[in-house]
Order: sequence, then C-alpha cells, then structure tokens
Amino acid sequence: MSNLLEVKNLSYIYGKNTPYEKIALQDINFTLEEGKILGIVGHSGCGKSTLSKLLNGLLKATNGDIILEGINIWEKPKNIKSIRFKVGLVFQYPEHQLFADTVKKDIEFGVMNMGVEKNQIDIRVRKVCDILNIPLSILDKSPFSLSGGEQKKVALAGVMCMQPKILILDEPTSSLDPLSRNNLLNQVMAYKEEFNASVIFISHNMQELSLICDNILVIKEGKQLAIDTPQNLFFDDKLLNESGLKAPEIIYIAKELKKLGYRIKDDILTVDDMCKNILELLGGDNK
Amino acid sequence: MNITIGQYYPASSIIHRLDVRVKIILLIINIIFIFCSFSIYSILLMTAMILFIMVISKVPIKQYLRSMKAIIIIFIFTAVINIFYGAGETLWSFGFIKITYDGVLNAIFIALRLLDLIFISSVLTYSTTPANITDGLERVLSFLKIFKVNTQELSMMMSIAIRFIPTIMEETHKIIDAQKSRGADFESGNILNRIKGIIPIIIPLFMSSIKRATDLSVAMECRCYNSYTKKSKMKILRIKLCDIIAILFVVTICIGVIFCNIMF
Repeated sequence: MSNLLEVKNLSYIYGKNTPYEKIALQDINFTLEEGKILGIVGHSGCGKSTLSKLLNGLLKATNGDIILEGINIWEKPKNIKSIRFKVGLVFQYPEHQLFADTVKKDIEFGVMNMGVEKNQIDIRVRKVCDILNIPLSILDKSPFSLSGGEQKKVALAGVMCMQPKILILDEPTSSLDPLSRNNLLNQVMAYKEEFNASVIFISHNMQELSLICDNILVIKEGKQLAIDTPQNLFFDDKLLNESGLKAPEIIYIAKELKKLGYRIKDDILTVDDMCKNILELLGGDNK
Repeated sequence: MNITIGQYYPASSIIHRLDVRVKIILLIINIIFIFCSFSIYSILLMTAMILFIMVISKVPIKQYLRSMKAIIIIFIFTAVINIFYGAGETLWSFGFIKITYDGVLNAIFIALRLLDLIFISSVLTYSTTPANITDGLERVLSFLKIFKVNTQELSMMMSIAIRFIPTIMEETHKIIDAQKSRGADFESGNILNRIKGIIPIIIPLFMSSIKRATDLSVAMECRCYNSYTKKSKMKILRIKLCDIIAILFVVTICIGVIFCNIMF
C-alpha cells in the first residue's frame, strides 16, 4: 500500500518573532496509508487541533513538510483550496458552522464550492445521508430546528459530501451520548469502507480509539511521544506514565491477571476479547 | 483584525493612577474646549497640553499613532478638502483650483482638532482598564438617576459588551476556519462574491451570540441579578492629591484657551 500522507519534521510556532511566541508543535513525523485510521491523543492544549489545521492547509507550518499523494501541499500556494477538498476537516463543534436555510443547502455548500455538477451533487447528498442515517425528510427543514446531535450529523455530512481522501475528525464524540457515539464510530467506518479513505481521529477517549484505530500518535506539549498500534501502546507502562494518559480499564485488568500468573493474551482491547480469553482459561465452556 | 481603540496599556504613570471619575470628567472638559478653541493659538495650546499628557502617560507614542490608523483616511480627506475651501489671499492656483491662506489655516485647524480628539480619548483608554472605565462611567452618569435612568443597568450592559469582544473574535476565527475548510473563499473574486462569502460567517455568529446572550441572562437570573437594588462597591474610589493637581492643571490651560480666544 502506498503512503497517502507523509508528515516530516513538522513544527509550528504561534506568533513567531513577537513577545507572545509559543511553540505549538515540534518535530512531528508520521505516515498514513490509504484506508487506515490514525488516532491522535494528548491533553488539551498539546497541539492536536493545530496539527489538524496544518494538515488541512489552514495554517502554514513554520518548519517541515506535509506531503499528500507525493506532492507537498504548499508547493503551489494557489492550489491550497483543492487540498482542503482532499483533506476534509470536521471541527470540534461542527454544528456551529451551519448557516443555510435548509439542511440540503448546508450539506451542499462544500461540494458547490468544488464546482461539482448539479445532478452529481444530488447523488452525493443521498449517499452521505445514507451513510450517516439522515432521514431524507429533514433535508428541506431549517438546520436550526434540529436537535444538537442531528445538527452535528448534518455538519459532518457537509464535509463527507466533498468525499475527501482523508477525513480529520476533531473530538467528534465529545458531548454525544454512548449510543450516538457508537453510531458515529460505525458511520465513520462505513465512510472509510465506501470511499477507501483514510481517517484521522482526534480524541481523549482511549476506549473508542482502541476500537477503531490502526495506529495511535501520542503528543505531549507539542512533542511526539510515540506512534504505535493500540496494543503496543496500552501495554507500555512507561509511555502511559510519561504521557499521563490512561489505557481502557480492561487493559489494567489484563495486566493484573498477568501479574498473578494467568495466561492472558497480548492483544486484548475490549471486554469481549477478555471474556473469550477467560472462558478459554476456564476450560472452553462457552455457555 | 486590529482594534486598538479601547486597549489597555499597562504602565506605572501618574495618568494611570488618576481616579477614573476625574479622568472621564477631564476628558469631557477637554473635548468641549477642543471644540471651543476658535483661534489657532488656543488649539496650539490644547495640542501642547495633550502632547504633554501623552508623554507623562508613559505609553509609547507608537501606540498612539497606531490608534490613528483606523481614521487616517478620514483625517487626510478632511484636511485636504479644507485646503481648497476658504476665502482670502490666494497662495497658489491652477485653473479653478485655488489654495488660499485661510484654507491652509483651516486645514491645519481641523487636522489638529481631530488629532487632539483621538489622542486625548486614547489617553483614557490606554491608561484605564475597560472594567474601570465602565465603573467610572456609571459613577459619572449617576446624576441621571434624578431622571429615573437606571445607570447600573447601563453600565452592566456596557461591561458585558466589552467582556464579550474577545470571545466573539475567537468565535469568528473558528467559523472562518470551518467555512474555509469547506472551500469557502473570502480572499479572491469580485466584490459581489466576497459579500456573499460573508453570509456563512455572519449567520452562525449571530446564532451563537444570541444563544450565548440567552444563556447569560438565565445564569444571571439564577443568581438573582436585579439592577434596582443598590450594590456596594469592591473598590472604593478616593480623590487623591494627584487628582487635584490634574484638575487644577487642566483648568489652568482651559482659562488660557479662553484668554487666547478673546485676545486673538
């Protein structure tokens, strides 16, 4: 598989050469393959959101390169708009960006800016409503008459409709209830499958990251601590301590059981995995 | 975006230490006398005093010049227009355009008046925090109580408005970023397209501001806010020696201005 996105020595400094100078990101390196999901974790203010803006071309890096499909995104600054269509960014409170008088017009806004033909737009809108489970009956309503959760979905649809190759979600599940959260994760997976896209998922919640991510990038105070698979990260006590993050609860149970001498597998991430493992140890009784 | 008027510049000067009520009243007196300076000598006297105040305020002159930036076009425009209007001795003429001695004098006059107005108001905003200004305004306007005007409510509205400027600025940046990443274009295209481009920013901004105002009013209601009860003040203001000196100084200059007006 080819590298869709390559980030090399990326650094960003806010207010360079002013008294308010602040280093937001320092020396970030990672690659993202087609169809993979990368999680980004770190405490608030560690530079996660800055990173997402850099990838999307809203900010220009102080140092380092972002290479998308083999081309540096700032090679031709005039083409930066087309980069934004390839790298779709969904902000933390996407419902705050709604403005149109109907839901349909709001979803179409991005695609219209791309200059896609009218009949193609309709097809795209339908498809995205299908993925996100948006009832077609609300397309003609005002987005402001919807509930918070629905508004979020509409805003997400607006970005998905542009069919970006890379979808960046900035803490999409904050302020969602557990059921909607699971739905959203499934919908993101469905989008990824449908368009063979890559996803960058920024979150605090290790549980949900462990469920969907192939790799997780850990950032602390603007510096890259690690990039690894969820399994490797969660069983690396030193790293967890250093980053101040917590693995999902089930990992701690697995670690304790291991300490007591039970044969627990290394790739346990969910309660289901754990149940199977324990039942196996109890003698394969699956009742 | 640069909004320099109304930005506090921290420094330790006598101007910063003055009682805010005194500063507001002296500003009003100054403005009245800037408009009541009818001879060039009186306006020069006012200008000299204002320059002196600016220097002792320990705010860099560069900062004051920055507050000029917003109105530089109006400033130049009024000055230039005034050069061409005026009777009296002709200094230079070209076709129907003629520049007269009175015109030039008039232009200098108007320019100095505008400069004085901006600089003296900047002295207040640079040397006083917005919170103190609203507090001071409330006290200065408290005489309106006899006309049944609720000054407490007025000053509360003002301080809320000032407090939310940075919040709304931040919100605006976020919305601009969000629309940009959906391919909205604010930087290129003709004027009509640019105006159209504002709609996706303005509407979400209105929505969130209205929502925020509603939330705030509910929060105030929950804490039983009521503008009709008399509130005690956390900071009690007292007139100090430097306030008296400042008042005497300004009054002396004002007498000088009246004197110049009569003599010349």
